[in-house]
Amino acid sequence: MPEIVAAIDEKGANRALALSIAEVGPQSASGSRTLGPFTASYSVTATFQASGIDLIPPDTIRIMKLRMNWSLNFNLAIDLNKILPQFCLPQICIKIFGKKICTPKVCISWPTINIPINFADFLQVTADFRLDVQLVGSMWQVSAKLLALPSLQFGVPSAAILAMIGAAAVPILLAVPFLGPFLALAVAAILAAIGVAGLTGFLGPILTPFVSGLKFKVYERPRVVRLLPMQSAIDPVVDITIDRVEASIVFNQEDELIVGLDISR
Amino acid sequence: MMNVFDSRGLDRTNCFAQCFNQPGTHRYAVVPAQGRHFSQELPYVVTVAAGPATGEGSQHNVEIRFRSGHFTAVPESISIKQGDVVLWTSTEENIPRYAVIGKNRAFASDRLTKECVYTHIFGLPGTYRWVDANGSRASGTVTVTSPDSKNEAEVKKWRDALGQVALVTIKGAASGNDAKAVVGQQVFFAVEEAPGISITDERVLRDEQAGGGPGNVGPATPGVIGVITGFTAIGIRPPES
Repeated sequence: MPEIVAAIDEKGANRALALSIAEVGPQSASGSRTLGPFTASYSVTATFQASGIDLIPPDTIRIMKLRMNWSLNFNLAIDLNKILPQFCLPQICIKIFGKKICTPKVCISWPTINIPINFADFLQVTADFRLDVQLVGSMWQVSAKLLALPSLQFGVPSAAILAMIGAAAVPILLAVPFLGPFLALAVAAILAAIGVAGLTGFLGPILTPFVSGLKFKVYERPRVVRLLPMQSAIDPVVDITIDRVEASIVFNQEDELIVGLDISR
Repeated sequence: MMNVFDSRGLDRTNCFAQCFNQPGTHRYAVVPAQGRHFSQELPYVVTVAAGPATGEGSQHNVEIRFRSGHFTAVPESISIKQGDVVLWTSTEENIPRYAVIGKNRAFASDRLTKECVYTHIFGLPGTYRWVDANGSRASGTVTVTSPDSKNEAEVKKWRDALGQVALVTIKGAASGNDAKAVVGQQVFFAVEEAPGISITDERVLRDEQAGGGPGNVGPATPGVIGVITGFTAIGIRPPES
């Protein structure tokens, strides 16, 4: 039986969670991934907010409508030779100054273009977290750790993001010499190559780690707690050591989060 | 691939052709665009055999290549008949811009004088006003259009137009040498006789005079935020519409 027991109800747990989420702060990541046949380098930042929690005995905290606001900057590198046909300008002959002059055929090799895209959205999940007790250094921490990854629902449909990529591509494509007549073909080919599935496959692995790695601190206490400072040579400090912490959710007229501490001196 | 509209510097989208109506040995160099003063060597030769010109004459092609940091002409030496034409061109994708300069300026791609041709393929639509960077009043305008890429009939019409000739014949230092073309169509500037002119995009010259350096032009299109790799920054700029 623990010597010290602390309990908070759902209302108190909601407040604690809000503080804990605020402490998490913006999370960032960067890297490079394939997007269809193309390569995209990205940087992403995410922040969290939640509308409330449900305490479920014996050890589950359900966070309702956990919202992750994210903003993504990515640079899509597209080798146009992969999506456009090779195109050759024909040989032309003229008669001038009494001579016949012919120019050679010129075949166009398309460049690689880079399309920067900035996009912000959110995803919202209801997820279950399990209470987890750890001694981290000299601190006892009770955290809520994600139990299982829920399916992610984006706020804006992937089709809308694809349309945004298409719109961003147009001015860049228009600046490529000789591409004008192929503009519609190029945009359609880029979007078809990426596709909705490709976009979800691109965004999912970037955003999932932010959710799968979620852990919120619920309770924290140093292992050694000073009860009394030294008063004099004959009144030394009085410390207690928290030897063990256990956390659970118990129904006691209402659901409560209970933290029990075993102490020694 | 570069796409600068300036006869002072040739690339894959240009040709320079010269008719040789006088017999003799004509030495020449291939130099970086606007770098004619850097070398006095004339390693390449056109030997013109005397004799009456017959028929249309023949065309002889010289391929310009860029290897180990310098330009080479292949073949280095050609023998032709009086009245024949030599055409210089390059098939190399990213060849730096170059000029063909004959001894004593007998012929030069940056100073077009007599019975020579400069060709350019326009890659972007718009209205291009050209001037003579060497100071005469020769000038003109080329209006380049591009089809609506979603309209199949227009795209087909465009493909057909690529095989047609767009010709500007220049005599003297007159203005008003205008032409219409479509993106991808070869425009021939045939200089019948002129005081050593260049055919230079007015904006290129304006940028040079503003201190932008040879051949520098500004950003492609206002609001373009993308970066194109595989092209150099020089020369990619649509004209004012």
